[in-house]
Amino acid sequence: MALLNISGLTTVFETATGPVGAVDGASFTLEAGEVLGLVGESGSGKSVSAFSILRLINPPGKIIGGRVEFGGRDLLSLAPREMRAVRGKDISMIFQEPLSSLNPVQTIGAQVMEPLLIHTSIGKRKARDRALAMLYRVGIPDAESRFDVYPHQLSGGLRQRVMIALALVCEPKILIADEPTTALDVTIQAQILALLKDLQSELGMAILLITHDLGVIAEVADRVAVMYAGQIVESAPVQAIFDDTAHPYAAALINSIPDRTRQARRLIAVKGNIPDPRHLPPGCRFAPRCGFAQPSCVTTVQKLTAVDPTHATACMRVQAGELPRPIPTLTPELPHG
Amino acid sequence: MAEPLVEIRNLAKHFPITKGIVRRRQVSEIRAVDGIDLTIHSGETLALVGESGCGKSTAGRLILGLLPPTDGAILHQGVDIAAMNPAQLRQMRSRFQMIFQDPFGSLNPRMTVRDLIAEPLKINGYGKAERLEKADALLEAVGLGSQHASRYPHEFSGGQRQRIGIARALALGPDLVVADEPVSALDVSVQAQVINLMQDLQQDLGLTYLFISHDLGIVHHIADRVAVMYLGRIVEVATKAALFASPAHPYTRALLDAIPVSRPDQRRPERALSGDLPDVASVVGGCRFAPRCPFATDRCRTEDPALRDLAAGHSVACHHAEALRADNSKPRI
Repeated sequence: MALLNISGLTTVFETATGPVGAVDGASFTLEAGEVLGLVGESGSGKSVSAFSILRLINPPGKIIGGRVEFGGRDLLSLAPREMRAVRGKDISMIFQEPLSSLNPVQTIGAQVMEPLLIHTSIGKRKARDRALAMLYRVGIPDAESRFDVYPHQLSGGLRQRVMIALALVCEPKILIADEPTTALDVTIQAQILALLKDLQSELGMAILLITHDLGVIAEVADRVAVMYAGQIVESAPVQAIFDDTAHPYAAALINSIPDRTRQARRLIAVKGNIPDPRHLPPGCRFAPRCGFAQPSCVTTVQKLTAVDPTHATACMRVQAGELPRPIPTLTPELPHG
Repeated sequence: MAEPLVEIRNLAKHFPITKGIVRRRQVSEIRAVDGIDLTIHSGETLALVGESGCGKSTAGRLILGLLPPTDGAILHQGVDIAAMNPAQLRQMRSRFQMIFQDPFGSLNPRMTVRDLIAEPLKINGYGKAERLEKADALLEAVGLGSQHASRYPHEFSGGQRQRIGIARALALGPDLVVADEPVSALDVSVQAQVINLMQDLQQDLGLTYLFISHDLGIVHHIADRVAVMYLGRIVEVATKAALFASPAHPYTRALLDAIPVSRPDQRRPERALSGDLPDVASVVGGCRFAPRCPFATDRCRTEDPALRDLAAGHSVACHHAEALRADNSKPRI
């Protein structure tokens, strides 16, 4: 039984010209103690999926379908009060930009204490002790004297550590990390990823890691779900995503990263752009950009289907055995393509 | 090696930190660029890498004459642009251009693509017919059709806008193009298109690139030589092959170690660098990297290391570079 079971999650944004789909029938599971990487480019719906799990979607956004099962309950049907008891206690979230996510007029110590005071019955003194211990645990040097500083007085890396402390102080079962290192420099990114890995094994929590960076995925994920234009197009253990790629989009994403172990003069680019969510192709949403598409791909709606017990793809040509795994690398596009 | 197109000598830019509103006084200064020497050869791609706040963008702007330097010389084919007056500088401008990071903020939303690309030509006195003809040819060269010419920037995706930015930068036929994080605002599948385009154009037009980036994966792909900056100083310059295979400065090494692996089977034991970038205003004596450096000695904390030649074409600013380089024998990717 998965710790978190998401099925058919559908979230739309109401606009003057009608609803625009951001997440369209996404289904995935998160097992206890694993790191699931949810990877996709901007606009793929990965962040909206995460916000939908915690029901942090505000109008004009609306969750219109699906289930988010956690601990035998569907989070989407909980009363607001019950949902508040889940957020920050069982499921926590950290965000890309710590400066805009932390309260600028509250000390970092008070912010890390707050979840304890809300979700547990321990007194202020004990909450302070636990908050301080957590700040030390996430690697804030001299946390005692920094307990009463404000977020703007800290560097970006330290702020992200404060946010991690805040998210983990109640020892949640699930941490949702939305691009936790994107705003950080590369040496600091390495520190934060190492910290998340350490804390995960220490606290035994599961992490849903949302990122656009396949390098981060390769570094820390156990399993991966790849999103494109609001849909999950492939899910598999991390090694299989790279070695046994079963969707042309996932293959294109992997190929477009410069690989330092092989030197090619040209990068393998994906032609075209991410589709406009208001004018999605009727069948496979990647078909207009796909080097393997057939006319039927453009018109046939494709469903994420398991091709082996741990590996699912939405590509009907792979499902039918017409395309090999891993998807072969196409010769580079014409110049300026 | 080709002749130097640009030579920078002891270039510095210090920004004052002031206090008070009525009686403004300078209390300190930020040494964004603090005495750098750098040579850019004709036809090469020199990457300038470093983390945020290291001064790489300021250095790029100084080289283009977009900021007046506090000190030093910037020789474009032997002519010092730091000593020029604004009118002389304007004359020079057509020879060096810039591609900006943000393709959304750097194009005037009220101008059509054709006008955007033709604007530098207009300023430099080209006639109307010639302008339009050149603009369409440039659009073609960056992979957009002339059917796009009468549209406005908001009608384009990020990658297409970056192509427009490139066409604009190339309008006057520059020798040197400074590209400041040209793909970091783009999605990965689109980044590759723009990088390929930049490489094709370099080959076709014989351009010289100063490629400013924090992304060492892309730098490894596009650069011929790499200069690494840390807190306003250049700490290492080398050919790409030498820099990635045997970095001689501990900071370069830390940067390389911090790049995420490109495949999960390359995961390695943790070698994260500790500490944060210090406040640039607080820099005092000694090597700037010493507080974070695992190899720092007392000498590092008191004596500021100068950039020196380690081998042909490989310079480094570290007292212990030889020892560190010898230690590079352990396998790295």
